[in-house]
Amino acid sequence: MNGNVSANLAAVSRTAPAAGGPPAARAGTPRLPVSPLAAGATIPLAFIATGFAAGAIGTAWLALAPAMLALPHVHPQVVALAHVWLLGCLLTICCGAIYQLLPVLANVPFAGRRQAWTHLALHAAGVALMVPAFASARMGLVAAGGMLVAAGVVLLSVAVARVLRATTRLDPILLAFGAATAWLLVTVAVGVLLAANLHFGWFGVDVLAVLRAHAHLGVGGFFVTLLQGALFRLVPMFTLGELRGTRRVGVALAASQLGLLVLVPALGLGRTRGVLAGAALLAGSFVLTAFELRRVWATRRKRALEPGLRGFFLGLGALGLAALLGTALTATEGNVRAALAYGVLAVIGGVLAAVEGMLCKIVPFLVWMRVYGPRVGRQPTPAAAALGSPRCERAWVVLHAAGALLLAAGAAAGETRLLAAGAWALAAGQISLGASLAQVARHLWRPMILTKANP
Amino acid sequence: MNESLTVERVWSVLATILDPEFGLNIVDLGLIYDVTLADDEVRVAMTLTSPGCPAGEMIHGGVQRALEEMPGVGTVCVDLVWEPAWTPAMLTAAAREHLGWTE
Repeated sequence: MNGNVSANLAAVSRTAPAAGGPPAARAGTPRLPVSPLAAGATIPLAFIATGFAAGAIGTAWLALAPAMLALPHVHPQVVALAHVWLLGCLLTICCGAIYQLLPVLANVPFAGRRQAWTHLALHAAGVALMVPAFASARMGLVAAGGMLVAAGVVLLSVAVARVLRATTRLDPILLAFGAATAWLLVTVAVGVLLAANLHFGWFGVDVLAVLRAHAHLGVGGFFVTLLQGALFRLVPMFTLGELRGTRRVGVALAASQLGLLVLVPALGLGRTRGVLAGAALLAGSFVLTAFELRRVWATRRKRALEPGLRGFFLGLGALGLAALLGTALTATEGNVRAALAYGVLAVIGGVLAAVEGMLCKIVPFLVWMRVYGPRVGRQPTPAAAALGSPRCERAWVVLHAAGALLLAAGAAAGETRLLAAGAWALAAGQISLGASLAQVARHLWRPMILTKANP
Repeated sequence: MNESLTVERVWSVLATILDPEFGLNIVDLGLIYDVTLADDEVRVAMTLTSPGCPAGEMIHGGVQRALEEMPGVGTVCVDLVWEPAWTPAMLTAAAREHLGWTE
């Protein structure tokens, strides 16, 4: 035992608090946080596994046909691939994370196990129907699949609303979960309506403009809002940093929500000034978020930058670059290659890196809590970080960054060799990450047995 | 009272419990505020790094289980307290070194 523990022992045996030792405890309410696992972690893990499987399909598809990204961004195959990544992979993973994280952050017991499983079934069926339908431009089937996805999102929204209504800790971070879910509802509604309209021809709309609005609703409204809120709980939690008050976080989130409220209708209606105003508000919100994140980072006690957090910050940086590129795109109307590069940078470089970076932290933690949590106190348990492979995760970060850059450059230049190199780098990165996550998952079936001598 | 049951032994047992996120034992992490013994009753006052700590239930239950398994222990009472709130200043020097926090 180290000297400080001995000092603690001495302090206690004297029954008086010593300087630097444990403080005297005052009477408090002996209330535990709510049960931390959503249905024993099976729900978040099932969502994450489904999402990762969809991501593997998207990665394999792109590696086999990288020239797809030299096509216009509204080409049926490109739209199908985008939905594999956004709906199949990223949204599925994020829904699992919401079911797990939100009740814990709000200190409200998880309820709605059956609804969550129904959501996963509806979502998986909907995406499986939509993607081939997109690739073959059968918009009626796309609308049908979209309705299944939308029904799942309604179930998620009910679960989120219940938690937010029940919590006594409502703050801007929890509100970000609610706002993100609301944007998601609007995104799927617009998507289903657009697909149905393309199938039935109810009314004439500028399809490209509505598609742009739909894409920004999803990426900006759901993913960016969710990341902007959640990072202020997750980064302090994983680094022992401190968030001193949520007022500035609230201001940053308010700016992003206002920016989206201006940007999305302006994109749909083709109003350039509105697009620029919305983009400026969003950029301002990103700057505020970066500023506040830097303050949290400066207070961290865990100094080492783990691969998962590296990937997360890589994603945030790529989202910042994408915001700049997107703003510049308003001046180059009709540049389809630049628009595709923007999408690649935002989705693969930004959201995918940030979400998968957090997976490197969340999945080991969930597995640890399910497998080793009940053993605490009975036998030595490993740290959550010891379950995966930091080497594989480090390789993922490097390969993912290289892949995203090459894909964005290849899409901008319409250069298939760059696209192929980027697609293969991305695939290699996903294999590395998959290897680490598989190593973590193996503990579900083959737990590590530690003796008291080597905890 | 069992002669082998001492406050020091209780602290030693508590120091075998690891926090999953930081790989530090809960004593070095500063989560244990107080340990008292009265006959075969062990009473521990502990906290968590935050009220929303996701591993809180596991750690609290683990402390209870670890102490119940100690020879000579009759009753175990683990009080979870929020005042004073945990702060990083409660980390021991060993914990700070482990985390790379040299301030």
